[in-house]
Amino acid sequence: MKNRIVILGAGQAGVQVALSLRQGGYKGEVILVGKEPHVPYQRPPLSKQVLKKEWAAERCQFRHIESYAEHDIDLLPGVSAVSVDAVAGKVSLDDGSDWGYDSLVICTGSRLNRLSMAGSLLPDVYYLKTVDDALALSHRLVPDARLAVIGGGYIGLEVAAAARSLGCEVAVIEALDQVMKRSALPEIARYLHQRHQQEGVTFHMNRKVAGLQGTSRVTAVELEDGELVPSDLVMVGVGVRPDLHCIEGSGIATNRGILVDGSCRSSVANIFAAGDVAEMEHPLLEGWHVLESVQNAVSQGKVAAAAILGQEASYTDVPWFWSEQYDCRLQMAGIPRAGDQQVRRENDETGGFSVFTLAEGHLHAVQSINSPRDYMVGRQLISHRSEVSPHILSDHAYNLKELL
Amino acid sequence: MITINVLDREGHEHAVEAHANDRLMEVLREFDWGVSAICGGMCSCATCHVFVDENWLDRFPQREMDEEELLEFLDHFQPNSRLSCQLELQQKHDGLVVKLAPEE
Repeated sequence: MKNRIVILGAGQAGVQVALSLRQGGYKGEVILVGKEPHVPYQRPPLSKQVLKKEWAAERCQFRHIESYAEHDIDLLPGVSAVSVDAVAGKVSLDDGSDWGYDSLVICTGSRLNRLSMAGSLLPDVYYLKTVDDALALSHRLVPDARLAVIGGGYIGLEVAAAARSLGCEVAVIEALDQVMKRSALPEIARYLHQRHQQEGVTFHMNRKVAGLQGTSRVTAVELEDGELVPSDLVMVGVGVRPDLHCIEGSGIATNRGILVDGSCRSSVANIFAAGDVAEMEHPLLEGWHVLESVQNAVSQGKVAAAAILGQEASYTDVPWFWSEQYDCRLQMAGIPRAGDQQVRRENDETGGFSVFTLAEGHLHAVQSINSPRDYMVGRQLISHRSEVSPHILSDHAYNLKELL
Repeated sequence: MITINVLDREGHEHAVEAHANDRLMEVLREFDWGVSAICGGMCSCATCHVFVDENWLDRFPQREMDEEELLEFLDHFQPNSRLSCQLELQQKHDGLVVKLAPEE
């Protein structure tokens, strides 16, 4: 029998694994199982260009549909795995088929956290994960529509920005005292928060949601203290968690995500994981991380493919992320650590700024607003583990190029 | 339909077809030898770096500040460096000659 690799998930990581296997010369079968009934596509534009109706959904496709056949990749769209039998080496799909594999790569990504409270099943409640979600929400973003965004994280704020640009009234409800608290530094978060306020977004900070009001349609979001936020529609962005559904009972070791080594190998022979579903001890970071980002999905996808092909592979890339809200481009590299010193650097040419975080001369993270050069330098300094002085970083007359 | 002449990182030449209003990155990411364009065209990652043949450079609008700042810190930056996600193709670009920059 021909060798076969099954890839569960046709998002950024799964597609990368498939293409990298072919580019690496793999001659066996490649089965790419995608839950959604679409040509595989990238998600970042969904909460930006697609929501704002600037891009047709097709523009998000990684490759044309023909490309999969040209690479002899068997794409199975609209199908998902229901179980993995690691002993027998086979997966069962929800169309009733079973597939034996020589190697299995799990790229199932993440699942949305959903609200479970009064009114949360009303028809005006939206989430944003898939292209269908984006198109459905976009359709409702018309001038003067009142949108309540539950959760002031990246998705929530990107949706708020898109909705404002389309003329909606927008209120953001955030349970914590800072927007984007999980990953943005306070100065960066404060800046973006103010930028949203300038654009007319109202905020309900430190407030939890008690329920959604309305009988057949949403009329308001009720906060725990009884305040009502009148709304025509609600967008919920309260995070995601790794999608481990299909590996329950398989014996693959998990914590928050599937535990993998630096080559994306799980605890079970011939089973790998990459992307949002994987949890890895990163060489440049402290501890284990599930990194929900495009860059991580691409990097881990390449590493997993190389490991399957028997090539030396380990993941050493500096994690990086970006967001766009109004005229602000936020770019981030590395992960700040507790107790890091934070240094701010202005960019006189663009009007932007950056915050660097470091300890004992070592840079751990950079977060930039409209200052790509700081971000680019920071990314390289983190990668090279170079020593750097905080005084130089804050001196905006100093050319950071000298550090490289 | 226009034709773009691309020299890949291995030194192979490719004549590829494109439509007016395509962005060059969207044409190049379709190929295994092409660009990775990780951020999808948001001018955020600098993984779609190309060198535009000197004779064609002035047929595109000049770099904006954000593109300039991303490019100037790349190891392989040259005066004719561009991020292909920022290059919108028109009929006048039929015959365009570009070379892919090495991966960083």
